[in-house]
Amino acid sequence: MDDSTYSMVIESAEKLFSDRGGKDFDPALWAAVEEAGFPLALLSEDRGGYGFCAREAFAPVRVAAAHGVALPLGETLVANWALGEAGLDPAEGPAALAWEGKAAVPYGRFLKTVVLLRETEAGLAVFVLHPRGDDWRTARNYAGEARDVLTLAAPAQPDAHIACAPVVLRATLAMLRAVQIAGATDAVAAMCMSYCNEREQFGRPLSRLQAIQHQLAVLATQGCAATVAADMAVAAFDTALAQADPFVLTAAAAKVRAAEAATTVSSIAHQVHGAIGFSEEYPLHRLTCRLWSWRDEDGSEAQWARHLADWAESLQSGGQLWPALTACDLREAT
Amino acid sequence: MTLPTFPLETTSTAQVALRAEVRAFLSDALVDLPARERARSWVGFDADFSAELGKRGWLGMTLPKAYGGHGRDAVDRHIVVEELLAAGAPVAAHWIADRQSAPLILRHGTEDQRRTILPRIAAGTCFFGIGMSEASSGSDLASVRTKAERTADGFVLNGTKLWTTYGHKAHYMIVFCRTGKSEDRHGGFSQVLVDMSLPGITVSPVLDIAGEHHFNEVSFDNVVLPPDALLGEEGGGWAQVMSELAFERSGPDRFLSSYVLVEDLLRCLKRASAGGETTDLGRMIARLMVLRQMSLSVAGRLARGEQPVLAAAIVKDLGALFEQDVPEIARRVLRDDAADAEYAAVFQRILLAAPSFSLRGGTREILRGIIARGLGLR
Ligand SMILES: Cc1cc2nc3c(=O)[nH]c(=O)nc-3n(C[C@H](O)[C@H](O)[C@H](O)COP(=O)(O)OP(=O)(O)OC[C@H]3O[C@@H](n4cnc5c(N)ncnc54)[C@H](O)[C@@H]3O)c2cc1C
Repeated sequence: MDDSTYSMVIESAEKLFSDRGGKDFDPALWAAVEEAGFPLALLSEDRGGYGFCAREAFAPVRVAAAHGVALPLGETLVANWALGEAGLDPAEGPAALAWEGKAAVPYGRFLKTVVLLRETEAGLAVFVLHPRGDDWRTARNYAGEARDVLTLAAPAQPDAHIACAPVVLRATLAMLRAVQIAGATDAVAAMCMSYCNEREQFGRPLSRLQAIQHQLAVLATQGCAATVAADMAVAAFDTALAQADPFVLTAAAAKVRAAEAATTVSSIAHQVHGAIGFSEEYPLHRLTCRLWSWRDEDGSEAQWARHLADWAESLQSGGQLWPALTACDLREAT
Repeated sequence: MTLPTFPLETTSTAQVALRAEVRAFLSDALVDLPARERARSWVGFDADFSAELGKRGWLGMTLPKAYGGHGRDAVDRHIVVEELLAAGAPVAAHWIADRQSAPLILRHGTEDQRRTILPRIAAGTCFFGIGMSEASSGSDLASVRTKAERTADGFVLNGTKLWTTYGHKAHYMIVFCRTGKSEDRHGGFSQVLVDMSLPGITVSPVLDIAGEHHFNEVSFDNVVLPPDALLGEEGGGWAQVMSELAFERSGPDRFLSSYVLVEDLLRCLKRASAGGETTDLGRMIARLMVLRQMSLSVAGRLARGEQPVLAAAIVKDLGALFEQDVPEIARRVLRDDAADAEYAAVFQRILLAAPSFSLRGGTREILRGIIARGLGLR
């Protein structure tokens, strides 16, 4: 695998997002993100994008999540991809996909463009909307990220259709949350490690205590699982349209597994930090509150778990799970 | 990134074909093996079956051709092993030899040891036992007492090993023992290759909680070993045994031990169209899908000549949790009246094997210590 683009993307994302974590949408940072071209990464060059593979394109999303950056970066990336698939031009400014009638739109009031989706007989209809401030009823998730409700009704005629099953887009958004969870768990692991190496009790660093070491080991195993979960879904996204089933299943598994990891990681992180980690001034909660939100957004752990269970139970009678699992294996690009 | 990375592996067309070939063979070869027998997983013993695998080139896969192997990489081997375990094939006869003894001999053995033993392992006709644990030496392997003393013409071995899996069927045991004194707690150890037909060896069965016989007590009473019984460097046993454990810890056997129950659970769920609460089933599948990728990633690193000790420990820790959760999840998702006699037998076998999953090959606590060290915490 040629890693040069990937490393370059990670490096520029790190430069951009370090120390830029926060709760509120940051317009200056968004301008820099657009300058860097991140939201267009999935589009082919003739559509004005970079033609990155999914691994490269979603890398900045993970880095942003690790730094607790408050921007709809992944949302815009996916919205632009969907617009491209619908034969439309990429959005201006921050954008997000939204399901008609569904409650919360990430960063709603800060978006220039909403790509509204409606399931119709004719397929998945796309409406490109440009809501104004008073088209939103504002709300926030546990981490204070804007999750606003759109009150604007879509016109009768859609702007276009997308030729893919709705579940593919749902799975894409679930994958996005898994990527964010992976980024944040890695950052939480880093905070826990350095805190436990510095904080002393009983005359030695917490990290010398076996009970703490084992907690951190568990945290690490869960963090690794979240990362692999996100990675495998992102890798499957490259062929999401041609091979929808393996992608949807992989993304479902990624969301479920990352969500499970998010639960354990947040709980251990707060435990090893003691009271300081429970205080407003200490930055841990910026990440853990996001983990608690993301694990339930875009299809809860339970919802995607049932999707997997239904799939397993629907395999033809006598059919086994194993061949169906290996059929989802990532194939070498040909 | 703070956490260890697991680069993803993709599967080539040739690897897909290999998987299909193994699967087709197994569906034929195991057609009469009931699920309750398959549920033994890698503790199921069938010497003829192992020999058949040897004939097909699926043992000693990563060994060089010069030693009867097949010169393939760790990923190809991983695929074959996954298929064997998913099908519940009886692989115990060759298991230890193929997994860890052969790579150990290849790396540390003399040319003569390689030439005489490796081709037989690849043929599936030479079985090994692991001689590490003793009654008073489990996790703390550096406290072993078994001793090989140098004599004019070789060594004399004395001591007693415990929990030796299939010691009663093994042609050889690789015994970790003291060969000298050392100031260093990890010094003065060696590994010796013990031909189990030598006089002075007594193998006594030890039954497990299900009343099954797989492990043993093996005692050595003045067993006279030839000089070429020494495996690797005299005094270098500690480092050797640690790298042997890395092979022991990285494979699909660390998350597929209870896989036969997963399939049998699904069989019953479908039959009963239970309509119960299956969220836990979906969660289980998600964990399995991720574990497969993680384990394959470790295989990929082995294939590139790396020694991913930390990554292997992470997979084994997560894998054992998964294997042990499978029967618990099964209890929650299957209604009582949906189970049949076969399912009940599979369930019981796996329930009663489960405690061992986080003991054998290094306990959960020891693995977490290794992970903590890998993270720089100790
Ligand atoms: C099915 C099975 C097959 C086996 N096959 C073989 C074989 O073929 N060959 C062989 O040599 N051995 C074999 N073993 C033995 C296995 O390697 C040991 O059981 C294992 O190393 C643990 O040793 P122990 O059982 O003596 O437990 P102990 O080491 O006595 O441990 C007991 C408990 O204390 C914990 N503990 C110990 N030290 C620490 C520490 N430093 N910090 C925190 N907790 C600690 C352990 O994690 C465990 O929970 C087998 C075991 C099983 C169950």
